[in-house]
Amino acid sequence: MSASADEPLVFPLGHQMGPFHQHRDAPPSYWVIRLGWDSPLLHEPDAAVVWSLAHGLADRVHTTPWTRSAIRSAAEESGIADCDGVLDGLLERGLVAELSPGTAAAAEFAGTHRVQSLLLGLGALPDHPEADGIGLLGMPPLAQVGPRSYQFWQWAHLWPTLADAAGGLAEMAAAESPAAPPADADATTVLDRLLRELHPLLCGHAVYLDRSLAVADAARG
Amino acid sequence: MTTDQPAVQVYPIGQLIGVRAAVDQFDVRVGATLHSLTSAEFGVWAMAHGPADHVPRPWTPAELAAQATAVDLPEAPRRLAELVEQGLVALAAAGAESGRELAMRVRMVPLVLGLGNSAHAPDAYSVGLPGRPLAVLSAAAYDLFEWAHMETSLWRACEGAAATAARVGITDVTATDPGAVLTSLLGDLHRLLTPNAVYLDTWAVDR
Repeated sequence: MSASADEPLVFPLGHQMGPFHQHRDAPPSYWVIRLGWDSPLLHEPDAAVVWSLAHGLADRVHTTPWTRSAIRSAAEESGIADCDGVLDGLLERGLVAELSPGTAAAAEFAGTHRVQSLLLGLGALPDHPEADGIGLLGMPPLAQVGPRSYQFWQWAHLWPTLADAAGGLAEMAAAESPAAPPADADATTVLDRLLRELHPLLCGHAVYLDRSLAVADAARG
Repeated sequence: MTTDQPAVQVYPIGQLIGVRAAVDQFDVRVGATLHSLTSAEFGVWAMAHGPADHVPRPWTPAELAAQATAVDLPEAPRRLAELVEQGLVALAAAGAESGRELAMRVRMVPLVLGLGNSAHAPDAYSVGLPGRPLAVLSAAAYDLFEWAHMETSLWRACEGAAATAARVGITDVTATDPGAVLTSLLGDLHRLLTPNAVYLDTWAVDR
């Protein structure tokens, strides 16, 4: 099934902390995510797989909007029959978000969540000079992105929220080049674009999404 | 007479966020400041992350200088001093006041994922990338990897870890005393710094 143009995008939330084996040589008892000051647990293997698939697949995210349909297709290939039920459960727990860029819900999300960068910036790739690589030294890059996404990866995590980052990056674009295209200097447009271009960074583990510290602190038990 | 002073070690600060090798430029971000280094400067900064041979030992300025000499990187001591001056490297001793000063002015931030514990050895946790573990940690060190960056300094993270240990009934002072937690962390930190599993940043630090 192909994704319709207006189908919302699906974003995973949290920093992956892996499986926990309670007993030696036994399967994992659960999988751990760190989100804000919480560490929600995924007790079902299918939930762990679907949460992982919500990051995107490297060979698809550059050409396929990463929607519920896209995740369902990938999940079916992994033998997961009830992807929608699992995704609904993750949505209910706030471990994924389903958002259409440009909507009020996306703006609210951007005001309450932040991005955190991982890995190192490796710069332009010798065999692919129009793209910048993100990864670790001595191994192939895990993400290859254009200059706008690269700048987002470099700096956006210093702002308290995604909305602040979009505003800051728009200001940077305006300051760097007074003749910058209006699209690069408009915070709303920047936010829409960064949401649409986020999955190549998410699936390479170059970034993850988190609650803003203000939201995390307010929710701290 | 022998002294029991802890060794002063080199700790790199900042995240590599850009490479333009063609123009000999390596960009390291510390907080909101970008430092553009030459390959020789970057070489010393990279060496500050720990021993290239991965043999654990105190990573002192002398050890770094010896490694630089071995790979024909000239003037490492001078370059190291300049990096310290620029705030790209800290000299600190685990268990000494300099260690605590460092911990109060940086946060420890992950660069990779938590990969969980091992089915064969549940006490051993690893961090890295899927299918590519980069370091194996104890449960206590893994907790710091997961949570330390949420705190406003590495010192606060050690205080938080110690408080948590005390709250759950641990009586071992090496786990319940923040200074001891920090000493243990700094003493072993190059094992996480060398593979770029974490980095130290001055951003969002509140002393």
